[in-house]
Amino acid sequence: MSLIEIKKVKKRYKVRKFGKTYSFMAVNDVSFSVEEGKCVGLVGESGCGKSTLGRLIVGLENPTEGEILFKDESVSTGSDKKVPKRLKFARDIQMVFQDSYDAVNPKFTAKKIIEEPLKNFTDMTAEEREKEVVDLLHKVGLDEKDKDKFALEFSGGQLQRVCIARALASGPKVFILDEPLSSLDVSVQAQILNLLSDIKKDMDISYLLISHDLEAVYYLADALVVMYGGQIMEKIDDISYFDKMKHPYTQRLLSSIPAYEKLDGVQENAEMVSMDLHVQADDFSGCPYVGRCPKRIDLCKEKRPEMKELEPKHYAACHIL
Amino acid sequence: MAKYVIKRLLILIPILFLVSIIAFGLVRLMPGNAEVAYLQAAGIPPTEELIETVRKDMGYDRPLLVQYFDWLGKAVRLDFGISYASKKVVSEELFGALQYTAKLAGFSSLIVLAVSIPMGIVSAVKSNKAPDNVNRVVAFVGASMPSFWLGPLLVQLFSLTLGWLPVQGAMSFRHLILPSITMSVLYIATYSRLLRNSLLENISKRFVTYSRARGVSENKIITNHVLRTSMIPVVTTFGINFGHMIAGSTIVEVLFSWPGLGRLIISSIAARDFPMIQGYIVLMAVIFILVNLATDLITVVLDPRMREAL
Repeated sequence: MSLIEIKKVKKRYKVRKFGKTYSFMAVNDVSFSVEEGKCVGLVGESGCGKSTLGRLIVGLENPTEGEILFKDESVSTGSDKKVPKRLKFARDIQMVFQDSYDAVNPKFTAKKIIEEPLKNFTDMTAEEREKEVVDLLHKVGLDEKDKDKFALEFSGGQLQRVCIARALASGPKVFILDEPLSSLDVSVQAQILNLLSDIKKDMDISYLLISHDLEAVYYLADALVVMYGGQIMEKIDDISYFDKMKHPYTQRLLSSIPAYEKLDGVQENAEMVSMDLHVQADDFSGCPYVGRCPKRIDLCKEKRPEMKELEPKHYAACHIL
Repeated sequence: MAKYVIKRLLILIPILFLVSIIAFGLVRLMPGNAEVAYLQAAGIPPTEELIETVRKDMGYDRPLLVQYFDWLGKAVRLDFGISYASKKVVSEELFGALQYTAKLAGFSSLIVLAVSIPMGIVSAVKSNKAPDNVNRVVAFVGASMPSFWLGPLLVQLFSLTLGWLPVQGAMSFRHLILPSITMSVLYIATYSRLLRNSLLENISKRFVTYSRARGVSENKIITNHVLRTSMIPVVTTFGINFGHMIAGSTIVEVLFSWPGLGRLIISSIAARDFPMIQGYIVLMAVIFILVNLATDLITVVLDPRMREAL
């Protein structure tokens, strides 16, 4: 059963530049779902719309078009203007953020940080909460005596653990992990990744892992969505198809960054990158990746490729596939 | 915490010592001399002989240092002498007047807090929308109205036209209302804007947005995460201003015939009532220091991180 279903979601932003207003699609016609107990990796470079999608799911903003369903109920009010129904779903959908130091009140101790959702969503007494906080600290690999430390006394990795404990506290069904590793150094990344993997196994929580790091995603994810320019480029419903992914953009992500210029023979230059906003403009009808794609054909500029099934559980949007 | 308070109280001693030198010295530097002032206050025309007699009586013929330590020795026992003008004990007069001024300043502070905090919060939550703009205009007008103008306006409306409140005096609680309002308007204007800006700065922090994403309601975000921190600049300024309220209540007190410190000291200065002026300076120094200490302690309560700095 799918826990979160994203149906043809579009999000339009207006940008003012030199006095003129441009509107562009940060998320354009994106559909996928997060199955119960599974982890979906959402991969793409910065600006591709993956964080916007995260904000839409937790209800910080409403989609311009389309619907996001949690257990078959819409999380958004459908209009940009109204306040989303975020409070109703917050207990079930919790988020872990990129920079843990930014994500906590610096005046709070670990106990107060983790206690907040307990106060917010449950009727526990002070003693029960205290006990639960200690439990949660153990669960994320911290010590009981850490509970009285202030946020800024923790290291980045420890504080990210505190944040995970806080997200666990409300007993959620889904974690939205927005780049949970990218502010940490590599050795700590591995620890947090292991922790997330353990939690997923033990507590039956589904993940949406938003990241630009394919390797990390591969380790944790059961399904993978690759986004570029607000649109889905390639999607696999089973991580075992990982090696078969063949969209030109995915290919490029897969090849490590220092090597890829040689690999596909295309030099990045300012002209190409500056197309990004243009390809997300409302009136652009081609493939968003056309400016940087080494395998582009004339059709790519004119027509947006439809998502097609290459084989069961493997979809891509590309004219040449 | 207790250690810190004791430390701060001990610092009082050298500060007060300095204040005493200033209080004693300044009065000596004031134009006119004490003997003449004393005689004039008693309504006796000063002659050479009388001045000489008074000088001997009051010990002003002794060396300055001796006079100072003599005065200091009494001052530590709160004995500032007898007022030239009223012939009453200075400390009793001062404490009597202080009670009235404290009442005035205290009630004004209550009004200030009760009005400016909600005003600030509304302004921040609805920033740059209608409520904020209304508050901005109100604050601007309030900050620009001097109390010697606002006071008579209020009297005109509430006492003379409507007849709700007494014009002046200090007999009952009803007498307290108009002077307190007159005094608080300026501070309401300042604090509501101060709190608004401080709130807005904190609301834009990332963790606040993230709290929304985690399902914390807007009200809880304001009360639990934003308000506490945002109160710190307000409390700090309030601490400084509370001293000013007590020391600067003169205009309001004269306007409403409120028998407080401000009125007392103005008449004392006019009469060159040296013992009274000296006592007043020392009293003010103590009040300022104690209020500042209280402010610092409240700040620590608001921001627990500062506990380590103690």
